[in-house]
Amino acid sequence: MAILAEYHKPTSLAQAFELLSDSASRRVPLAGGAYLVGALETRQRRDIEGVVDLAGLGLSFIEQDGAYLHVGAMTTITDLIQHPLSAELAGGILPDTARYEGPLNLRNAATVGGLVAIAEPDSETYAALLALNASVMTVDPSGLETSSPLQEFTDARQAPSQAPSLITGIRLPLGQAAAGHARIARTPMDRCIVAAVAVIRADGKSSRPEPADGGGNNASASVALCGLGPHPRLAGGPHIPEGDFKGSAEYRLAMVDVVVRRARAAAATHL
Amino acid sequence: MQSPITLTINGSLHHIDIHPGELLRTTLRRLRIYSVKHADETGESGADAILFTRTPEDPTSYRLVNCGLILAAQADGASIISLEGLEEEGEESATRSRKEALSPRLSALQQQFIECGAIQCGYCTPAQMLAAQHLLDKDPQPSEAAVRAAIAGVLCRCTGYLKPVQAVLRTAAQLQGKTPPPLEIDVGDAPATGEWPTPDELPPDGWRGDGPDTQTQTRSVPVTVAPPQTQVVNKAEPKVDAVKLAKGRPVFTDDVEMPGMLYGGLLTSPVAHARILSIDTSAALALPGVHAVQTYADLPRVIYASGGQSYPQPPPYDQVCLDSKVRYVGDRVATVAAETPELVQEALERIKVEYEELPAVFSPEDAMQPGAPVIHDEEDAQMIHDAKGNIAVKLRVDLNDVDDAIDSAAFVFESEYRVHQVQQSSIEPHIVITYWDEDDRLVIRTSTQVPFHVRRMVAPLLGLPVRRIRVVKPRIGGGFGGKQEMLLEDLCAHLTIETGRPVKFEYTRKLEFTSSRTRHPQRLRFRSGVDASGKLVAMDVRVVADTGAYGTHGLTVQMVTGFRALSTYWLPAARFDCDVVYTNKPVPGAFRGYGAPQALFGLEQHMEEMALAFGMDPVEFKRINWVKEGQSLPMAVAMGEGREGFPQVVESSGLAECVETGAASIGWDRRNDPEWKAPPDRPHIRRGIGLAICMHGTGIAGLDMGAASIKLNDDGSFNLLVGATDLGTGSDTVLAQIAAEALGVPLEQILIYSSDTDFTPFDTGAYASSTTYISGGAVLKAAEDVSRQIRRHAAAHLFDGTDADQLWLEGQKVVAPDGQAVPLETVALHSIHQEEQHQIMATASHMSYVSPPPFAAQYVSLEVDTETGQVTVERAAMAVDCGIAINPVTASGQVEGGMTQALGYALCEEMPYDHTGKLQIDRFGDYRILAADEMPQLDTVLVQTYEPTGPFGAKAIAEIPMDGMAPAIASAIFDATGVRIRQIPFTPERVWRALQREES
Repeated sequence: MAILAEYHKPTSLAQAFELLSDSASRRVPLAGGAYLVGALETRQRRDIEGVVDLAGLGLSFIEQDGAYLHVGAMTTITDLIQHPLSAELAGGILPDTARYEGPLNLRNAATVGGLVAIAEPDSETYAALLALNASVMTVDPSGLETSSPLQEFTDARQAPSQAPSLITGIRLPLGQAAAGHARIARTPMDRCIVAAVAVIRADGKSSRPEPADGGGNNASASVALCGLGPHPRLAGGPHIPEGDFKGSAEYRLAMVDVVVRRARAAAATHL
Repeated sequence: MQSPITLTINGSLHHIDIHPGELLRTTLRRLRIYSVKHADETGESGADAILFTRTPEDPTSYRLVNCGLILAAQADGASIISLEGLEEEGEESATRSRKEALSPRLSALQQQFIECGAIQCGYCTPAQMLAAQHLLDKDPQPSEAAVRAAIAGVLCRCTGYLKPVQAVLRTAAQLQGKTPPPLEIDVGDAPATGEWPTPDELPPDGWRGDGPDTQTQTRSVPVTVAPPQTQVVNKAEPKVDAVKLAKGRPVFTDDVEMPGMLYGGLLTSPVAHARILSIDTSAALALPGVHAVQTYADLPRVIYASGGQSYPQPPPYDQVCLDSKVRYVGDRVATVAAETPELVQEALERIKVEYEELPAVFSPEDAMQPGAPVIHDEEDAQMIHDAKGNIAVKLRVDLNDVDDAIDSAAFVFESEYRVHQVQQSSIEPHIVITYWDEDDRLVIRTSTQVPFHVRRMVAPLLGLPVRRIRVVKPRIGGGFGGKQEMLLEDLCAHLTIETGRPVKFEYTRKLEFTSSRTRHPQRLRFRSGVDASGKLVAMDVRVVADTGAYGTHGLTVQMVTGFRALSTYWLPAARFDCDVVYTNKPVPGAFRGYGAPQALFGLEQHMEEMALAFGMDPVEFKRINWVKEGQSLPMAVAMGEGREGFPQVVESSGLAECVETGAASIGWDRRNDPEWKAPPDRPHIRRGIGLAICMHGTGIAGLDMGAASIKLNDDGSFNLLVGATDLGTGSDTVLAQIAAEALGVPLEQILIYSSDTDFTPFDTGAYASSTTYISGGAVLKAAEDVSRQIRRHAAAHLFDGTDADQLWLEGQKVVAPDGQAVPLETVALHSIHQEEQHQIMATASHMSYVSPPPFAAQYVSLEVDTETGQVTVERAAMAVDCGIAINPVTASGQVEGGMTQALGYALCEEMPYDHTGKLQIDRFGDYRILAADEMPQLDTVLVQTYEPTGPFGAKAIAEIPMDGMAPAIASAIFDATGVRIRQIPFTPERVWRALQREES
């Protein structure tokens, strides 16, 4: 049961920060609710007394900003994948992967900000954003806006001393890239056990500026992986997966090469 | 603190005060929008889907969302459309026929859902239809893939999605001004002799295309025996409850408002095995609005068994309402009744329990070890086989000398298989409402498959005589065996007794997984011998079954396992040796198939492996050994329902035809096509086709009893009262069809009501595939009695003394050989008001000492990804001999839905535990139920035979679709890869590991 004492719907970021900064009232931001309301209902989250609904902050938008696509944090997954610019990006990798975030009725409520904030280990759309070199835009109580690469942002949120900030949106580079996607799941539409997303620029280069490494990212492809840790990650680093009922750590590790190879091959066919 | 919001719902503006944490679903239901259903807390079920927008001036802005994942406060100012908003107004008419009555008042989509048989339990139907209508509004000519994607967020556990998809596609055609083709339910009078129907030609590549027509095919091929000439039976009549379900009317347990109603809640154990040292309820009781907190100290200790079965309950008796010991994570600890669900939750969290943890065991093998923790050490448990050894039940049945027969066999084969624990997962959770009526009788309104058993079983627990209890079964949102259990009724009733108030008690989805019922896991070892010709001479089956913390259904489920394992093929000698073992895990119980899916997973693979080892074609090996018409089922005598059974002889079997037609449907010959099996352009893919033979039962011989009452009304219509329990299967429709046929009236003249222990006669309930056969037998008897009374009265008073036996009922009239006819209405009015006044009515009971087996052939074609182990089933075809299908639409719906559940059993449904016995899944999604957009093509073929002991030749069909899928998939994986996997589910990792082992 959602046992809440308060519901707030601020109309400015300042109001939102004021509500959220009162640590005694145990308030948290509420985006679409697809995750949080369920967590409240199941009592998975019992540490919350109030929610601050971000729907009144004007953060639901998609607009082109030069060579980037700027997506507001309260934009739903459906709106993201239906927008012509994002739908075409890298041959449609965002709609391709978003199908596996859940069915339509969940995608209609879930937001980009929520997807980025939760960074579920099997979120293939998050992996696609990683491979597309997305940045996360945040603002702190002083109004300072910051842009961080998605993976850095997620890593930083794990730090206990994380300063309060709100996700306002993401930025996606609009390069003419191709992408490929490979996944392993119990059923065709189940959330993945392991998956990979590979993105290649039109010139055959990786969408990421980093130099080549030995784990899947190189000059020709940026690869992100799901199911190998607490959050999806760019390929290349060490994988220390935790096994669960869907697949053991050993199985997940053994599948990395398969899904990376297939994702890269699929991307190559789309060039 | 409450705050006001405004909502525009189906065009009407509402101002309503809400709590900060109130869900929009709760608000809508407060506003009597009952079509939005609770099925889970995390949105995966989609049963509460609505259309939602903040810009209603733009009709395209509506989005399908789950109102259980939106706070009501978030929705302030929004516009909402629910199923109620899709209705079209129409004129009432007192005399219209059933179909005429439907058309003006239902949308095209609702009509198609009804005509296609797309509604079974109807619990998910409102959301499914809303999702479909939303698609049609945007895309008037959707592809099948688009339809499946649109409704994929609404889980259905009944239909297999085929008929809903078919309904949406046909609606689209209808709205485009096209005439949808006739439904592919082709049941006519079958030839008694003649050639087999020609199956559809397959294209050269063996696969049908993906067009919108292919996956919506359901074919019923009449084969062997001409059914009787009928007017209502054997016809695709729309379900009698379809309109109210299509309209989302308040028909389920939860859909009532009771003044002063409290909410009940259950505190469950966080540990697998412990004694409760103390419980402090004071903080919970101190909360204003909390009216009762009950623990073991508050309730009488009465030993019982919770399985909803006939009297006397099969042992063991090992439960009490609330105990001072807990035996699994999720076991009952305490209950609360409070003014709101939120208060209930707060109170539950304030109950302080001190546990003395005990060692726990999580596998039968460990539990049977000397020195293992004793799970039932209470002194008052009764009829446990070996409590100290954790053996709830021991079964041992011998038919002739198995060892001698195997010793002398030409060839002996032995193999072992494992099946796992899965959950029924009806979309409607367990829910009960209890209250005192004006005569101080306790009314239990409950979603149950067994209302009469519940009344009998709950009475001693409450200390009330049966006469002071009334059990009402409204519509049920699916059961699948999970509601063949007295699960919550006792707890809810105790709270009403203490508080004097109505109490509603509903499980969350998490509690459904942790604290309701599941399917028994088993380890099955088969040892068989054959003679030189390949005929079986003996089979020895050893089963170790896990019954979790309590023994409910443990005896009888495993008895069915043994019976199915040792009766599908004819055996001169057989042995069944089974230990049903306690563990500290959630409790298995009844689940569609009831022990047969476990048995057949082992049996069918064992037979296939043995044939290959022996050097015979597996299908031929099965063919020469399966039971045939005229053969007896010797194990039936020894293996009744927890008692001695009765001799059985197979009177009808269409199994050979099932195998033949199923093979044609699946394209069996593709097994010999190397390019199909190993597609050159996909080197990591291997394809295969598998077959499993299935045989089930039809009711429990000598035990199941159903009764029916039929009363003639003034206008020539009939009230039909049955205790049988339609849990979405369409049994109300089938029973009404039987009555209508016997009484010579169209279906709409039968007003069926089920079931209420005060008003309807007894029925054992909806289980064991018994309703059509047993309850239908009662209906037929009662109808024939009423027919006799009508004819006798008419003969005496309206036909000038004509011999009543010369009259018959037809077209709502009594007809004489000379063509004279008198309307039933005239007979009714005459018998009630004019001469020899009396009420024409009859009650009849039916019980059968035979349980004629339905047969089936389950085929599957699939792909195996040899690099990842991922299995993708592309097509499943089941040919079923169910006798005469009383209603081919509902019958084929049973097959499609059953196959879909069976696919989940084989592929993806699983109840994993951590090392402390805690279940690692607590929501849909993790517990993966197949969705509409990931289904293989389903083909159903009804191979009709005439069962002489059944009403109008009918046998059962509800459970057999559950039985063959897992072994057929195992067979197909073997065909594809040469690797035998003897354990389910076939998860990618399990298959990958098996492939790795084979490689190494």
